[in-house]
Amino acid sequence: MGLLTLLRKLKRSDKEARLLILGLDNSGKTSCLRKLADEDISQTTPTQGFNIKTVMSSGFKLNVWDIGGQKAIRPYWQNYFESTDGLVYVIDSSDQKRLQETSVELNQLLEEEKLSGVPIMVLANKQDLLNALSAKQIAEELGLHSIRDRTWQIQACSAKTGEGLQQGMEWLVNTLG
Amino acid sequence: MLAFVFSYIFFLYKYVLHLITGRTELGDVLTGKHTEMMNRKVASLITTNKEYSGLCGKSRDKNTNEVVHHLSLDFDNLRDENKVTDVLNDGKLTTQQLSNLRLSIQQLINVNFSINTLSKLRQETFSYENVQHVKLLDEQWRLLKPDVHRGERVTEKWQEVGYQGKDPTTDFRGMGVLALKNLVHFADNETKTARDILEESHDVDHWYPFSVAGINFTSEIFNLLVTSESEVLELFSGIYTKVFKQFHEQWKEEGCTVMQFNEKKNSFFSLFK
Repeated sequence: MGLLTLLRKLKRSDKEARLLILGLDNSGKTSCLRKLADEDISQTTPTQGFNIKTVMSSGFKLNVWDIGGQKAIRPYWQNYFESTDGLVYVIDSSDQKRLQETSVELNQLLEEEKLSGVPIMVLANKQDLLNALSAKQIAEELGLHSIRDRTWQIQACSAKTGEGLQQGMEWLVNTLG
Repeated sequence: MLAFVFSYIFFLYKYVLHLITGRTELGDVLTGKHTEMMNRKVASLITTNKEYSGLCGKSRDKNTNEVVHHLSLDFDNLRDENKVTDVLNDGKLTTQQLSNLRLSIQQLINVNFSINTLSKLRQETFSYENVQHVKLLDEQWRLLKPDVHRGERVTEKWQEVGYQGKDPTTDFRGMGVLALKNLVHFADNETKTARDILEESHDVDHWYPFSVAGINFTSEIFNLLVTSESEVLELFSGIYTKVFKQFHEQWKEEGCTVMQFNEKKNSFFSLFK
């Protein structure tokens, strides 16, 4: 490998990151991603398999993998853990009935060896809905404060209005950078 | 509403006058060569006219079809095309020209009307309080799983027909009741095939969620229909090429001769109807 190629490679890896978006079905993973890419979210359909998109944030090129969230697809999540730089975990803040389920899934992810130390951004999505819990309430319900083995953050957001999404990504990028 | 219809008719009237006095395209339109051109012209004029583009709340040249179908929300009163052409005719058009013009306008209205109908269904969110909606959902279950009692509304059993979780309604999302109607139509019109496919979609290695797949197909097909003017030819030609290749494959497979061409062509295309 020539010096130039090596430098180029280093430079590129400086500015590129691989993110994984996970969460239960109907939490809004694809909508968050589409909104970040400035696309229409009114026609989003359930994800069969996965979507990949490249979005720019604070000069970073983010290769984002959005994997379907239905129970039967969750066993496939682990196939995408390898070389993940950052994890985005999306929660439907208005669906209190499924908080327990999402908490269990999140805790399993935190125990995954391949994801150890990977920074995590929890998106408390659907804040535009009246019955949405606040980010603070969700952090408490999920016991996020007991996470000690990695940096984490929770961000209130709405894929519908776009509010909070950029902040969430910026935090993640700053953590990686 | 009525004021809008009249202002629209007046706008068409002005437009046609403009064409008569200054343009040659109208010749084609009126001789019936390019009825489609009239549609395009009217549509593009609507989008480039400030007054109308403001009305649509859309940028001018972004997506003509979309703008036109937004406009068509107000087109229901325009279904009587005789009224429109009566207003348009200033005694300057021959009977033949007038009838071609009528055809153009009728086509424009029909296209708008069809897209509009689908669009409304897509935007109709499923609600358990709507008796019709609930009936459709029950119907889908009954057609696909006649021997299985579903029980409660929210139940794990929904996964047996390929929804993601306990409540199928969150899966409809961006495709609304249109997606459900498509699923019911398939199960109703080709019950055996639908049941077979559902059965096969549960394969241990090659499984996929049947109903969710259907919802995604609704989305893809809907987006084929509502496409922008710049993309429409590209899309049409793309479909054309695929059809050509597919037809040839079938031709080879069946070892046809040229005298069977029409018969094969008709049976091939009847697949899409």
